[in-house]
Amino acid sequence: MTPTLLGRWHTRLLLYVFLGLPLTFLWGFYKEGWQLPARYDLDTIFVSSFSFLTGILILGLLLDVLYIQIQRFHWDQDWPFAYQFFFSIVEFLIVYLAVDYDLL
Amino acid sequence: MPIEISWSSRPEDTLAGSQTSGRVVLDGRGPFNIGRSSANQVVLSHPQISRTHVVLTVDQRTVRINDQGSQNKTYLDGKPVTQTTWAPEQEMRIGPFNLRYRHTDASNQRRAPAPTNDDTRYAADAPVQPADARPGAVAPRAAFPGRIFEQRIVSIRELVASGKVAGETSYMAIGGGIGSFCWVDHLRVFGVPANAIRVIGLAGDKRPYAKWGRLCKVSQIPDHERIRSNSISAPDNIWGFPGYASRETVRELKRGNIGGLKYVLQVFGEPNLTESYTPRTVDVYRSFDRETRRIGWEGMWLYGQVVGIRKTDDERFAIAYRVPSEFAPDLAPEQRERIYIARYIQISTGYPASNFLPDLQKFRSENPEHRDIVVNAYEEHEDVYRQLEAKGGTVLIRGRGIVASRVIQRVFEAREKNKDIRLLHLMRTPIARGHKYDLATRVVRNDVEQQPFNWPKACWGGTLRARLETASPEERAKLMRDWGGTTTADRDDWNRMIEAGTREGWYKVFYGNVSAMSEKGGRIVTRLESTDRYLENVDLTADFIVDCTGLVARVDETPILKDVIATYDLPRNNAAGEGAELRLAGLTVTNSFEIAGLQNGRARAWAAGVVTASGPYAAVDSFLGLQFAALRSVDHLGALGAPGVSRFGPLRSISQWLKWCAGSSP
Repeated sequence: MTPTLLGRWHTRLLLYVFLGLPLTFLWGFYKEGWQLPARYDLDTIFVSSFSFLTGILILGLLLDVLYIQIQRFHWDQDWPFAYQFFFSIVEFLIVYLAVDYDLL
Repeated sequence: MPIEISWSSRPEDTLAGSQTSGRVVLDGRGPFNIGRSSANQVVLSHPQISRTHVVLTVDQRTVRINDQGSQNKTYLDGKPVTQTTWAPEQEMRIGPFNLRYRHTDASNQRRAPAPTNDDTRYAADAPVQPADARPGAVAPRAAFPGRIFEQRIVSIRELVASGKVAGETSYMAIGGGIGSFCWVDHLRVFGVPANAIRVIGLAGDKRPYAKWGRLCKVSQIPDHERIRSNSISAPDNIWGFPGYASRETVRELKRGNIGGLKYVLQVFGEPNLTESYTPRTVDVYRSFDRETRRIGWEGMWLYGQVVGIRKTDDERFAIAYRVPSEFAPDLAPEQRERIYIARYIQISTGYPASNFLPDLQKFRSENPEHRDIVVNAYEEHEDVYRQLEAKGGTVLIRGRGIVASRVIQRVFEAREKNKDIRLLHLMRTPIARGHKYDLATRVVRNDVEQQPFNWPKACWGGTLRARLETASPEERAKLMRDWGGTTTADRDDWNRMIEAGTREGWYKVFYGNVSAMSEKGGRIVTRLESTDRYLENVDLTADFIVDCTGLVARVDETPILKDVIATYDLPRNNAAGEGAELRLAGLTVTNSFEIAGLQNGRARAWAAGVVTASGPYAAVDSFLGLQFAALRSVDHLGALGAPGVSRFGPLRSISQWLKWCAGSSP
């Protein structure tokens, strides 16, 4: 992969809309046993998972600025898939811990 | 000793008007090409004969033949052969012709021109070879297109009145190589029907990769070897998915080979954790074959060498071309001169010739009897390795790019058969530190800068591409100096070969400038003025010299471009250097690869490939670069509302991708 900053942001937003949101929605239904949740559950099931997902999105958009700087140390100015795989775990852990400590 | 080749065929088997017999004297060791192409030493015109059908090499009294993978095979005494020796009593048959030879004293006979008559430059493609250099009868070059094309804007009425107009079309690709192919592929996928497109080229078998494949072969990339290109650089697939790596993995898994997973893992980890994935030549050929069938490529093909392009007074272009006699042997020369009319054209004629160092050219012309010990890596030179394997010897390599690496590999393989082979590698200066750009420095190993591809990877689709596109012409020249230069791939096997050679004492690097070259007892002596802080001059004696300095890219070496540049005062890109680096000075194009100076009302012209070098995109001569140029120009066509080019949104893209997967016509 040889991304530009704009390309990274495009990709993130695209994945958020076309993969992240539908999967989160399905996951919420799955937790409810494939039923419409009761009103008080809406928040716990959907809102919290969507805010988690959105947290990852916003963190990612910010970190992309850092990644593009790290990329400059590579002669090829590239970003191996392996790196993105590694950093996506890092991004998840950061948001997970932030939620765990009630920061989000 | 020279040999005389004679051939004959039964008149009923040959085409009307073509010769049924002939003879020619070949002097030297060759290689001598026999085939349909008029650039060959022995020209046999018949559809059953390939463009270069078979190659002869002569060593003392032994004549070796090497079939070039011809469609209709080479027969010796009735048996099909590929590589063997040819005895004088044996009869060779190719197509309808029977050939024999005898050893002869050539002093009183008409001599055929030596393998490359033009010592100043090797022709990378037949058309740049002057017509009068060919053996046998060639019609004098008629004044075509002549007077009609003297105007900058020609009258469509006059063109029609000339009786030369062969047809008209919306889209025409000039060149017929991979650059043309990528453009046509995009047009087809974007919705243009095949019957609105014409491609004009010279490849005998109409294959878009004919020239590229030939250059691969002679520059030591056999079919099973891997080329310097990435998985997603798949010219047969505009989406880049599935790329070559996943296709190779699927194929291996289907065979039950779990090890095939290696290829996708390579793509996952490249280039830091793993060596970059590169596809096999043969897989690239196959993928081209599949896509040419899918888009109906052959139906769009016209055989022809383009000799002129002019704007017409009805907002189109007139393309004058000559059909080489080998593709229309029954037509008179003036019947083979034609004009096609098109509204949208794309020019992608590629490299006009291979580079040949001036001192090596001089040696060849001063020592004609020893000319075949100095060879160009981009020309057929398999004979060098055959002789090395048979008798041993010393090879001197000039140049340090990727082709030098491949030649080192070939010599390494030859040493498996004969340990008495040594390799001298001549470089002008040592390289301690690689190019620097931004925060990074390019890696150097064994005196060669290394990177996976011929430009930093971000030149294809990343930050460097974006940077170049927005840069001014002066900035572009500087950026390309920073990113460019000679490099080779960081392949472990190549590094190991050089390290083994250094350790075992059969590989040695010398630094210096060549001050003189001379011949001594059939060997070649290169005198070096050292640049390595060593005051004594050094003489290097070798049996062969292989010039690995690359291909010539100057656009004005292609006659058709030279003419069009002069006629319409087309601007050129700043050269990124001087001398050997002058190869970077292409036609100025817009960011959509349009040749702005050729606009003629609604008629527009685009370019792709090395003819656009030093412009808005660095890696123009790569697979992905050709696809990028094609995508940009076809997007532009769509914005212009060109006929058939649909809006290429996500739905169309998905449905076209599914058609690609199914192998059905776009």
